[in-house]
Amino acid sequence: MTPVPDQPPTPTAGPIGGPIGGATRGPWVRVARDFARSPLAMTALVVLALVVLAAVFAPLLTPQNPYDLMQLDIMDGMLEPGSPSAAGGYTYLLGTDDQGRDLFSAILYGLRISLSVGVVSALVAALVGASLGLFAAYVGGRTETAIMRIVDLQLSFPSILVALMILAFLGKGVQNVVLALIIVEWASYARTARGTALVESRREYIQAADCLGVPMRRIIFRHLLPNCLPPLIVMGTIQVGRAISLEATLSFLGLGVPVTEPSLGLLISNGYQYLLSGQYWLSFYPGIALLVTIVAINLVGDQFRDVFNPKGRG
Amino acid sequence: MILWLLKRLLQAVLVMVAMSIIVFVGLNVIGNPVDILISPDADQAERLRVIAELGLDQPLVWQYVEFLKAALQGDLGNSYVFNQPALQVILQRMPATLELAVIAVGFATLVGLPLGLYAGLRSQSWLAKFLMAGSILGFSLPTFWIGLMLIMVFAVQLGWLPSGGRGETASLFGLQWSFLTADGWRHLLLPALNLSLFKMALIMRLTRAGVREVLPQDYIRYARARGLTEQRVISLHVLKNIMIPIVTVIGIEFGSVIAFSVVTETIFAWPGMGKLIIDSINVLDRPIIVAYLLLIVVVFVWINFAVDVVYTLLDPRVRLGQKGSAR
Amino acid sequence: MVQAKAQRDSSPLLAVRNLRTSFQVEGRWTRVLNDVSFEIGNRQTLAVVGESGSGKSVTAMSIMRLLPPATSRIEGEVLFGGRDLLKLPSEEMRRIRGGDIAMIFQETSLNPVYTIGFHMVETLRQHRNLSAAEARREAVALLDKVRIPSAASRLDDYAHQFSGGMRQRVMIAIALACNPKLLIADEPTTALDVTIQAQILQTLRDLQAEEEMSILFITHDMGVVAEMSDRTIVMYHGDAVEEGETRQIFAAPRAPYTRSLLAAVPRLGEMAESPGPSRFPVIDRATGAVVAPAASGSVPDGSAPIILQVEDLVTRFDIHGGALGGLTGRVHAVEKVSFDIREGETLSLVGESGCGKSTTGRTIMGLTSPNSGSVRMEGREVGSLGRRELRMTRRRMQMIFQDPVSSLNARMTVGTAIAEPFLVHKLGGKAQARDKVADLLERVGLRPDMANRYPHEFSGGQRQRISLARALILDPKLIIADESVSALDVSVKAQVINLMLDLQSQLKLSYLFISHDMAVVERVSHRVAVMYLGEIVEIGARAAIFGNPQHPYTRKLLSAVPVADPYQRGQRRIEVSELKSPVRAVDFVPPNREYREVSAGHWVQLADN
Repeated sequence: MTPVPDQPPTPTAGPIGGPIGGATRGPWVRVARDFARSPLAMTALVVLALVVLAAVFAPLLTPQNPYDLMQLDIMDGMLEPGSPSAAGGYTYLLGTDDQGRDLFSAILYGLRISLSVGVVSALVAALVGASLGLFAAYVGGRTETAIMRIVDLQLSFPSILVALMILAFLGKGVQNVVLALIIVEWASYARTARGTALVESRREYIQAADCLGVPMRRIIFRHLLPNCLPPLIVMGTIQVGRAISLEATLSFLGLGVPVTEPSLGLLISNGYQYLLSGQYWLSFYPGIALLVTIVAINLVGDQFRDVFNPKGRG
Repeated sequence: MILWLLKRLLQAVLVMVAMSIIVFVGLNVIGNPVDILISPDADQAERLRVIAELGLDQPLVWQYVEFLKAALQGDLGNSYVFNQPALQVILQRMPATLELAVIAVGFATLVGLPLGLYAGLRSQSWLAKFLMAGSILGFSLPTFWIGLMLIMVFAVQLGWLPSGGRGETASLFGLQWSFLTADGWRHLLLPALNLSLFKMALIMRLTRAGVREVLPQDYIRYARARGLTEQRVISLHVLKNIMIPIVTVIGIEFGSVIAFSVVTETIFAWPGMGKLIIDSINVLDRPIIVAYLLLIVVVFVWINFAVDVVYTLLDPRVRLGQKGSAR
Repeated sequence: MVQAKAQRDSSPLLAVRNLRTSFQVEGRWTRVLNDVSFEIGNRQTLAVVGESGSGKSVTAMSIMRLLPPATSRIEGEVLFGGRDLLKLPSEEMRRIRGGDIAMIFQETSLNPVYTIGFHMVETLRQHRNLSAAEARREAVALLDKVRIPSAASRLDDYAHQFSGGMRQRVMIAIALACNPKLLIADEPTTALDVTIQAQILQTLRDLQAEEEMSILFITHDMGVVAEMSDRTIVMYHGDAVEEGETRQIFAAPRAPYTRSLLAAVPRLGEMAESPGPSRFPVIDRATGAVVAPAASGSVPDGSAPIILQVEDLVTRFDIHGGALGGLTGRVHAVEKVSFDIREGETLSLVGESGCGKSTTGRTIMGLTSPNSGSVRMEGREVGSLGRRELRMTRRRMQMIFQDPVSSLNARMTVGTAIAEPFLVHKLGGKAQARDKVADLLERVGLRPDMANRYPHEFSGGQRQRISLARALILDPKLIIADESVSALDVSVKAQVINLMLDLQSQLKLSYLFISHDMAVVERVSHRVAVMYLGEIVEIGARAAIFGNPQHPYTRKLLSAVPVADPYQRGQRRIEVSELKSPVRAVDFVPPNREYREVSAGHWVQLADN
């Protein structure tokens, strides 16, 4: 009931008598502009882009394919960072492992697996979870209660435990890890999607559309969905980071990806046994790669959250 | 209130039943129960004998009832490795894990809460911004890698603290505890720190968010307008309001810490339940796996139950809502 | 306190001189108060009035030094009892807050996790040297003073266990705890229903006399100003544009802004001579010149066809609760409501919160399904229509909502939003839609080129205009306006109402105008229906309802409305009461109501026997 100020709420909007045909800025343009306001978040975005590019173009960027045994030279085993290769030709920037595998190459190849596992699982989980959450909000009643009970149940157990449980039954493998991550993650998307949809569907613009005779399908896809997206985008970003971290943890514990497809987590795990004898680089550098990736993702996600929800800014 | 308690209790029991079904189905449908329940070294005759004895030729529902009956009596089979009842093996390791978890959560709260409070109250200061950036780091660092780095720095490079094990223990209530001895503390420090970092960041961010949310509220402005001292405004009016969600989170996170101790215990060779379950998965000691899962389900259901009750007791709006709204 | 007593009665209690406040926004200092000066004498009431963004609350917060020191700067002098509050050490200033100067806000300002007794005891003990037991006894005495029934037993209740009016009484009791010289009241009744507001204002006046305190009353409501204050200061964009005796300001406003503001304020009773609705006069804010005088709206003749017919409409909501989620009660939101609306006519539904006026509108619109009864739109029964026909009928009536922010989809341009219904109903092609959008934007006082903008680029009043344009694209006969102007500032409200009246005479629109604001209702209606606990207790021509109210509730409602005329103050007394709730037991059977026709078309419900 408190009166709303009768000034346009953003300083960017021109006065009523402002320039005719004033260039208009859509909500997404505004999001991009607000995002760019934080130098930290922009740096994170650039770093993230570089990481993704490095993973995608790994074969072009690396001196060797670390999993082509023909390219490995056992004589180059356990070299410190910066050592030249015995055959000459290139420098092992980040050192080698016991089989003479270039760690830098291994990291870029590992990044490919880590990123794809994280992104694929987060995407599928988002699709499944958001659909179920929206469906629950839409149908209501017992179906909604049932879906949300499962969500609550699952979310009351920590992700790592659920993943452990699934992998204990299914066994190792990239597919199994992805499956486990999807099962772990879908519930949070479902909860967010349903919560947002319920809040949005009670808003007056939805009721107005209903009054105006806009068909149900159009209301859902043109009005409801676009307005439910922001929290899902924030969640999706952060969940990719979580998925990567969880995959690394599982692989480190020996329950994740197989040795033939080593992700960053497995590289760290392989280096673990040499840590106590001082060969730190085998665990350290893959960890840094992991860290940089996850920090960048989280910073981007954090900025998304601030941009979409200006109240939480500070 | 009592009715609500009973209802909530019933829900807890239902969850436990549901989870036991999931574990059972996992055992029987996804994996082959013969593989899971019988030692891989057993010969054919032995297998058949055990199948009959375990009732694996019976219908699934009947098998489940039998499974549940045994489980309720604490009989979850014998560990292949230890050749002892699985439950007993796990319970032996439990104090070590609980000790680690309590210290980690305590540590996370004692550090995270004040820092979060500071970051919320002085959100413009550079220290607050630094803390927030740091918390993102704490959020992003995978626990296992931090553990490795802690070992590398403090055990390998500096040699200040041991890299693993429980150290010297002392007995209390007939159980062995590390926190009673100085050497035990030396061993506890790194794993507890490792386990608490993530939670510390979480509690800090939550506290800060809570403070930022509560500060602009009318009741804070009103408290100041009544001439209360700033100290009183913060310690009573701000803190109590943010403590309600935070206490809830701390409770839930205690469960999560028990789960994540799987990682920390593996790295620091801490002889608790977490290390046991990973070892057991690696050597396929299936009775231990099943027993661990069921036990952890029970622990979790009770933690959640306790958190719910505490939450209800803390918030008068919820507490009194149970009685029906009074006008 | 000794110092204050030593002051002569004639010298002001509080003198504010050249108060300037600036806020730091995104690194830049922005002035929000420009050299505001005023004085408050002993036992005097000064009203600070203005629309949102005028700086009226900032003034109070500056005096109390309650603004965040890091991002705000206060300059000037605030002399209280001879001392400059802005220069006091913060510890001394703290003792003044809640001591010599008490403050009340909207009634939602009590900390929800503490009992009201806790609030009272902590305030008492902070300022007076009392033991816990003494403080409790004193708290009970204070609650008695503000007329809270069975005070002692309510001390350990939480704020949410009180009604809004009682919560505000608690705040007043806390304010009185230390015998303040000055009470600053910042919009204390804004969220309250009108009858409750009247009681609170009454209590404040009584206590002011008893306690001999001065009041600084901040409000946006000219009616409350007229009701409460001796002197008034009018604020606009951080400037005090006019200061003077309240009677003087209402009788002969000098500042152009004050004139335009007062012109936009409806005054209860001023419409007695006018047959139909009446436009607000428009006065230029800068020059004070009359741009457009007040003008009568159209009056439909008795032969105009009936557009909407509502008969015995009943809407109830089940309340589930208890451990098993069983049915524990029902909200009887709408009980046997009947009325009709003619072409070109405005019927207002008026009542306080919980009376069912909004549910009635939503049920007619089909957003809520009725339990029984019939709604006929242009002769066709809406409930019996098939999907297709329902959509066709829906086109004939439209709804405008209260919240200008959430009633437009933030992710659609205004043009797309207005054109959407036209296109989904296949009333024409895209080019036609574009023309029609341009035409409608002009009709509602906006520029056609604004179609490409997004809602966030518009102000609240503009958004309500856009909502109107969107509703009009389907050429409806009836518009249901559910508190559509309630959230707007008074001058914007007047503009939107003028627009609605213009559209009515141009397009022969009918309105179902749902509002809690009696003064606005008097201004816009042809006929009025008063709702109470889900039922219409009185319905009739506007002049009959306002000039000859028959039902006790109608009378109570009318006498509670603050009248924007300082000469009419304090003639009415209103007894302490609470709003009743329409929640009933499951087995509740609504009594059969009978109505008496007072005069032609003026019906009043007969009281329960």
